[in-house]
Amino acid sequence: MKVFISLILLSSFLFSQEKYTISGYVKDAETGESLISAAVAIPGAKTGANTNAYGFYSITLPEGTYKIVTSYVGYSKYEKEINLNQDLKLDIELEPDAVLSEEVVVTARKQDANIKSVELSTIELSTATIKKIPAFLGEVDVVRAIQLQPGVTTVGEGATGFNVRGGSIDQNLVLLDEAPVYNQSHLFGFFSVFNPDATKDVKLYKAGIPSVYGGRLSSILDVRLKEGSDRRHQAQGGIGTIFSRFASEGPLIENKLSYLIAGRRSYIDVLAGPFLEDGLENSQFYFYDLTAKLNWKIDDENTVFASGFFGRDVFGLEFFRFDWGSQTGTLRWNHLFSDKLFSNLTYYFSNYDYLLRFGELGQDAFQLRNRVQTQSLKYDFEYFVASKNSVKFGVEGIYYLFVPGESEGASDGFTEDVSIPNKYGVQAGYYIDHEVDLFKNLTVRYGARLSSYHYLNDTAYVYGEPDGLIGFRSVVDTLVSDGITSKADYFNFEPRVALRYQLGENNSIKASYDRTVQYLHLLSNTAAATPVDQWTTSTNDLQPQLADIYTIGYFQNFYDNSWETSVETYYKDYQNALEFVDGADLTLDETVERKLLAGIGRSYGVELFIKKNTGKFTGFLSYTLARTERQIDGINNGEWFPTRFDQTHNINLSTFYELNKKWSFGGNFVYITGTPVTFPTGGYYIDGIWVPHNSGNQRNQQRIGDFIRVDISATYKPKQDPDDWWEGEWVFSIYNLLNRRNPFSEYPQLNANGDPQFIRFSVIGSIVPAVTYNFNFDVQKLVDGE
Amino acid sequence: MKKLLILPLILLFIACEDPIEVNTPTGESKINIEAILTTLPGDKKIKVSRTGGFDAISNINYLSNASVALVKGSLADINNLERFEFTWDGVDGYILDSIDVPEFSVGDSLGLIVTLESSTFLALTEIYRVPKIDSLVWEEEGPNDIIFAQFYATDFQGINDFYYPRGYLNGERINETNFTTAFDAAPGQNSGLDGGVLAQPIRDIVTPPFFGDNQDSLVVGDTITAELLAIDFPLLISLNLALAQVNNGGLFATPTTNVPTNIISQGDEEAVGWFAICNASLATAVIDSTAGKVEFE
Repeated sequence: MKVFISLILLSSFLFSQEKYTISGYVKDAETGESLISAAVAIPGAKTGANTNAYGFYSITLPEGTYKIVTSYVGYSKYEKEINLNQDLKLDIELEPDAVLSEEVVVTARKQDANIKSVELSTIELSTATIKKIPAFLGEVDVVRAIQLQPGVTTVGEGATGFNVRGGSIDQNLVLLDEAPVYNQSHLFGFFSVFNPDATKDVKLYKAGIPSVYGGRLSSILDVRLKEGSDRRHQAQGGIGTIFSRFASEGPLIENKLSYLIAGRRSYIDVLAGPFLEDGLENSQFYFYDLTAKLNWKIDDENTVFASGFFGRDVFGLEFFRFDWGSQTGTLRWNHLFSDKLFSNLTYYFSNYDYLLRFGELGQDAFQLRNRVQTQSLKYDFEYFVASKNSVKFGVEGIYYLFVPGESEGASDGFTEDVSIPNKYGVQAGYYIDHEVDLFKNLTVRYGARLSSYHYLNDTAYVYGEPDGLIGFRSVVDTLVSDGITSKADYFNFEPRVALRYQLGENNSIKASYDRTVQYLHLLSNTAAATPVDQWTTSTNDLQPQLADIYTIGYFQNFYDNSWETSVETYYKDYQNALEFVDGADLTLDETVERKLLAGIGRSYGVELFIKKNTGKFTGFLSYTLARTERQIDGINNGEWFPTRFDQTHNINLSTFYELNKKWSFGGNFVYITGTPVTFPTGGYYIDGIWVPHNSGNQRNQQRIGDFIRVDISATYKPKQDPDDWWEGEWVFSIYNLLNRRNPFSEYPQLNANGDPQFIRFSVIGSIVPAVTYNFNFDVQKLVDGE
Repeated sequence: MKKLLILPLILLFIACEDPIEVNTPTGESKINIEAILTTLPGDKKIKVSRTGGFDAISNINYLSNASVALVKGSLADINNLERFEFTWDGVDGYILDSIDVPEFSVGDSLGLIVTLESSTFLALTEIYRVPKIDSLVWEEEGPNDIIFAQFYATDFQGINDFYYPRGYLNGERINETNFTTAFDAAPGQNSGLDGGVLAQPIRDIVTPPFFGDNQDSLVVGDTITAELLAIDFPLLISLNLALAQVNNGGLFATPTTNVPTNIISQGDEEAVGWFAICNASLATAVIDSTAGKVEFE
């Protein structure tokens, strides 16, 4: 810590010629929405800053006269001459670019941010970008857009979650206004819970993860909601093939208090209802979500945000019900202690639960509810030491409640509570990050996170060696205490370093090292994760997972930053990688650790990326060559084996063409090597059941067929008068244009004659056309018009 | 119009399964010993074969040159074990005639010894308690008035009883790949409902599945039989794993994994399969009307 403080003070001294500070917020002039990562430059001093997640910036300079230039893609450039002879508060409002429709937005950031920023392996997407990508059933989606980015994959169409550089889906910390979202899926995985109408900014860190983030190994997906316009009442929405959405925002007190509320609901059940028969009349199959936010600007120094999300999926028949959903709530207080010290105090609540019910309650039934609940208080500070010299530090405390099974079973009218005990955990984190331009061309961000985790319970179990027959371990000792006490304590030091060396105006080289620690685990022994997988805690037996991530990349822009290219390579080392004993049923087992296996893992790969930012024709092409493996005693004879989400080649091409102001077109091409699978070498009978058998007892040595998909879309915007209160657009899309039955999984099965055969399961087996009508309207214009 | 309105439904459920050709890897053949027997009266039959290639299901290579014996007694006194030799039946297995079958009691330990050329294979099992089947019950259910039958039995008090139900329709095994094993009175791998009536879907074993390709249903005049076998936990896990392999697929597919075996090879050749002598209850009834109940003493 002394070294840290010394370095910060030294860098402060080096840059301490400055006398005065310009600070403020950068906002959208029409809506008052703060703009994240907007570039505020002082060309005369060859310095500047980017706004933080709340749109705040702070630049300290010697006394003098400067031109301040602020740019943000999609907005007109802002320029102002300032005479800096005292600290200056300057809120900057950017006008949306009038030629937006021709200068297409593909990135939210400043166009040379990929060269100038120390960040690497980071993907930032604006809603405008996401909305241009051809989407399944015409419904734009945050997670599906992320899956088109280099290093991000999924095990198959419709699978829950996403995999980042060989990590499993639970290794992604997905945040919605800072609250973790444990399951991001609607309809198993076809859509994500993030309503694009309420989403402002999406940022994915694959490496070079700032120390403020902790708790997952592989990535951080930070989704920020819009704040809601504090100037105009407006609404937007869409009527789609599968669901409709509506969002409304506006000021409750002008320039002071604003709101945003957005909702979606699917309506297949409503449309299909009249045609269901044979006992399916009362079927339920739908999902919905509601996102809301309040933004109260108390004064120049204080702003309070309250945001929440509530979503649920429901599948139900007369004697069957399966539902799942997330709820989050975030309360944040932004406070400026000075024009150099920004703070944010956050409290959040997050809950994910699912319910499974079979049969008739009270007679013959089984019901299981599983839940993970988190509450956290965190305090973040950002101190702008000097120009291009800032320190972020903070503290965080998290409380976890795991409800592995609130359950009851009923047989022949007799009901019994078969619940298993809850588990608890407390996590603490302290972090500091210092980002500074050390020399003219060298930027460094270094820091660390000190995390601790405490497993709390009144009972804990000690396990012996695996059973020779089925591989489960048995309980050899039980640790019991009066009341809930800590049964395991873990402390981890997580250093993080990122470097950028600018080779020239248009190219730079970057490198990073991250140590990440994960105290939570998703128990999933299906080929692809599902909503019924359960989150569990590290315990005295189940160790936290650790990863060391090494990344290096070269970034080069061409033609005045209209073309971006990069090549990045990474290597990840995993400790305590989790797997499962074959045949383990992970539900309703208080001693589930006896069915778990731990080992080591590694992922490595190279990602090539080319992006065209401007012009009528824009888009990106990415290629990833990757490998991800595990080595775990008890699997594949203890030898390295590829994981289910190991995909050797991954090519994504996403293009967009703006023909004119009425018509625009989009297209995707995706190629992914088939995922690994275990095929049998033969089979035999066990009590009349033919079972496949792999004589070498090997895991994942073959691959299913390759995945190839092409999607196209066309968007038609009718001619619009600028004074019209209503704007609409039609989106026509065809998903899976090649009509390929891409494999989700391949497995042996007996056919009707009792002969074994291989089956290819395709989630999407045909082309999927869709039409969506999107609209937005300005309530103020409507009222004024009357 | 109807099709148009349910277009979203069609679009959503566009998943499909297609048979494909796969070049399966080659692997060495192993000895398979099929020896899940019961204490019910009758001949006992054990099959010994070599595992075949993936498509060799109808051309199983049954081995006639093995020596197969059951041993009974205390393993602590290995020299005084009673030995019961099986003989080749000339078709596909080895038979121990019913008159030679020893009596079995709860707690008995039994062993299997199979000798094949220079290899010997051993396995052990134990006799566990099994509840009697109290009744067979059937009635018409559902929109199509299909006869739905169940057997009723009550688990013993005290945890760690494991059961394997088998159903027969007119003497033919049904539901080979759709049964549900029981941990006490509950389905699954974990205890619950201790001491109660075995829960659904365990009880449904005497009704043929009426989904998918199998549309057989019970009719008046059919004879249904339920068997309830007491097994140990490793066999419960192995049966569940076998079911998971043959019923695999869809979004919830599990990785293909080998089913464990309790056959220990004392030679170079590896073995698969299972040996167990399961204490069993049996109940049979004739469906004489669309709804009925037969109780058993």
